[in-house]
Parts: sequence; C-alpha cells; structure tokens
Amino acid sequence: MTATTLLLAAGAIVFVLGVVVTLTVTDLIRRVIALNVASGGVMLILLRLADRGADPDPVPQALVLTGIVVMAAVTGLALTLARRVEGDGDDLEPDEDAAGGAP
Amino acid sequence: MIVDVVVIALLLAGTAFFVAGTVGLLRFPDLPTRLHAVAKADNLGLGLIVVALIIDEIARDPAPGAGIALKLLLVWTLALVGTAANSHLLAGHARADETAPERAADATVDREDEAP
Amino acid sequence: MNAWVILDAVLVGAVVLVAAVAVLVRSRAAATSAFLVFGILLALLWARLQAPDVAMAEAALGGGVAGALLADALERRRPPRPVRRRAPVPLILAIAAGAASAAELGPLARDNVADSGVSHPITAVLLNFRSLDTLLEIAVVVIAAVGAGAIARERVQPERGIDPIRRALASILIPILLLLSGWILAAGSTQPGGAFQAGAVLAAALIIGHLCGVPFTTPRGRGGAALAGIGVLCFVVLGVVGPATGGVWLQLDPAWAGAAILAVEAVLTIGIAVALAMISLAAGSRDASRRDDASRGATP
Repeated sequence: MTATTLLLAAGAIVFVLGVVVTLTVTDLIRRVIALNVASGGVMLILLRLADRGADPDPVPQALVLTGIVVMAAVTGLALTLARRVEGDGDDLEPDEDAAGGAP
Repeated sequence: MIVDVVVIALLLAGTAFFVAGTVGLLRFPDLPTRLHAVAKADNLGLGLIVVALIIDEIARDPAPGAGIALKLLLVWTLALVGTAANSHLLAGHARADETAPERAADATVDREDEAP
Repeated sequence: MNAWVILDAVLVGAVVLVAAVAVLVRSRAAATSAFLVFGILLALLWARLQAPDVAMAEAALGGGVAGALLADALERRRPPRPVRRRAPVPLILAIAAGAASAAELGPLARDNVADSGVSHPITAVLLNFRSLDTLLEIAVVVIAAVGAGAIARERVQPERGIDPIRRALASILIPILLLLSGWILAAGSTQPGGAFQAGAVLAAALIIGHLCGVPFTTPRGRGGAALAGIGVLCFVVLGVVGPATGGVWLQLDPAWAGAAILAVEAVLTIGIAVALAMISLAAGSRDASRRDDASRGATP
C-alpha cells in the first residue's frame, strides 16, 4: 500500500461519490456540487500520474487546468439553467418577455 | 532554535483564534454575533499567522525576506478590508431584511429537500 | 515517519471526508459550505503534488468562481418545488476512470520547451504544443457565457445609489486586482501563472466593480459577448497564420512564438474575465430584479 496507491484510491473514491450522487439525487444544486466533486476526483488521479520523476509532467497538468476552467463555466451555465427550471423564489407568475408573447 | 519556538508559538496562537472564531460561528444565535466571532478569527488569527511567517522568512534569508514580508502584510491588510466591508454589508442587509416581516432574517437557514 | 508524510496523509484524508460531506448532506447551504472547504483543500493538495499552476487555478476558479456562483444560488427564498422521485440508477454505472497519460508525451514536452517561446513548461504546453485544447476550451467558456446570458431572466443593470462603504471597497480592491491580474499574466511565461488565473482575478474585479457601481464594469448583452468572443477570434487568427506562412495550423515559429503567446494570453485574459463575469451575473443575485419590480409598480 504505497502512497501512490492510496492517492489513486482516494481519487477513485471521490469520483465515485460524485458520480453516484449526480445520478441519483433530484435536487439540482446538489447535483452540480456533486459533479464538481467528481471532477475533483478525476483531477486528483491525473495529477498524481503527472507527479512522477524529478520534474512533474506538464501535459496532464495542462489538461487539468483546462478542465478547471471548463468546470467553472459549466457550473455557471448549469446554475443559470437550474434557476430557470426551479423558478425564482419570489415570483408568483411566470415571466413575460418584453415583446409581450406567451411565457 | 529560539526563532523556531517563537514561530511555532505564534502559529499555534493564530490557530487558536481561528478555532475560537469557528466555534463562535457555529454556536452563536444570530448573524451579528456570528460576524463578531468570524471577524476575530480573520483579524487576529490571520495577523498572528502572518507575523509568524514573516519572522520565519526573515530569519531564513533577510534579503528577499523583506519583499515577502511586505507581500504577507498586504495579504493581511486586504483580509482586514474585506472582513470589515463584508461585516458592514451583511449586518446592514440583515437589519433591512428584519424590517420586512415576510422575509427570513437568518441567511443560514437551510432549505431541506423534499426528496433525497 | 516524516512530517511531510503526516501532512499529506491528513490532507488526503480530509479531502475524501469533505467530499463525502459535500455530496451526502441534504441541506443545500451545508453542501455549498462543504464544497468551498473542498476547493481550498484541493488547492493545497495540488500544491503538494507539485502543480502550482493548477493550485492557483483551483483556488481562483474552483473555490472562487464556482464557490461564489453556488453561494449566490442559495439566495433563493422559496424551497424548490418537489420533484417526482425516480428509481436510483444502479451503482455499477459509476466506475472509476483510471486515466493513463501516454508515457512519452511528458519528456517530449519538456525537451522542446526551449523552442516554444516561453520558459514555463505548463504555458508552453497550453499555448503552443496543445493550443488546440485551449482554443476549444475558450470556445466552451464563450458559449457558456452567451448561453447563460440568453437564459437569464433579468437584464443586468448597472447599480445606482451605492453607499460609501462599497465605493471605498471598490477603490481599494479594483486597482490591486488589476495589478495582480496583469502580473499573473506576465509571470506565466516563466513561473506558475498564465491567462486563466489572471482571467479569474480580472473577473472578480469586474464583478466587484459591478456590485459597487463602478461605471463600465457591467458586462452585458452584445458588448460583453463581443469582448468574450474576441479571445476566440484572435486565437483562430493566430492559428491561421501557420498555414498562411507555409506551415501547419496553429504552428508557432520559434522566432516570434514568445511574443505571440503573450499577446494571445492577454486577449484570452480579457475574454475569460468578461465571460466569467457574464456567467456570474446571469446565474446570480436577484437584487436588480427586486428593485426593478418595486419601481415598476403593478406588473402588466
């Protein structure tokens, strides 16, 4: 049971936790959080594989960096969608757009 | 050796303030008292830790240590500014919300799900 | 037993524990708080795994932007409408992804850093060797920004009537954030840093500016989308220069690669900042609409 095995196992556990909760929970905000947690697990595995030898391997690190930026943008879009799906708390009727069309 | 002891003592003191602030955040009844507790953690706790790091850096290598010390002080100053502004804005917002009877004042009331 | 080993063991254990808390608790506020802690612990872990660029990006984007978006989403007053309960998906669908990076790419990248125009290997990989990935990533961010802007209900308005505390806060924070963003951008050629971390810091400056009523900091509508899209366009133009001069698409000649990379990174920083600010304002606070409803009176 070396440190590498433990780190990879930790990454796998975190990923499984995130994916299972994303697929089984119905609350949208919690699913977004779980998706972020799952991506954290994948990043842990990638970065552990990058850290071999004296110098870290820059290719997986660049991939993880790209992944972080994409996850931030996707989280924002998912939260906007979730807000639209669930409806804002204080609204009592559907929103009507400026053209006066049906909501 | 004596420098190490001083640094560790300051770090422990700073951590103690953070623990106290967290306990206050969890146990105090409403928003203003919780802000009070968190502000102590941010100002004094972070300040002690920054001082410990500065002493450690300067003891290790005086020449670039001064630059790093200035940057650490800048970090602490920004944290102070942020905490002060946040406390003011949060407390004012909470007071404004309390005057509207149909709205909840406590920002940390949980929204429980209907389904797991 | 080394002290570092104990620190690493505690850190990894804490990461797994906080991840479990973040996904398993029922309350949204508790899950969001746990997720914020998860972000900070991940940043520390990346630093321990010799990935300082990734640690900076995780702190800025994962803990900062994503955390702020989630905390903003908590502001909803009414609990969500109950959704029809579905049967749980079988657990066998969740299989751990063991990623194996190709054993040859790492040394190949390191050996060619000298030709890439910058001296930091991560920046060389992102902006030169694997610039196609970065181009697609920027496109994803811009699409997300335009999509979020289209879905959001309220028109984002600049704030008015700001109290002196917020004005003072803005006058202190925004110059420092601008300086920090520029420095991280320039430092990315030789040290950990680069366009993404700088873009996240600049996005924070834009959001603070919007919330504190600073003029010209509200990214909205076509102007915002245009600024965000300029990053993608510049990247494509740079990519076309390769075939135009007889080479391959996205090829950077070592003679001017350094300057080209810095220029593209500068444009990317602005584009990412505007896109992230647009996403945050679209996903976020309701203060604008509440004020609009009050001033509009009876809804037609």
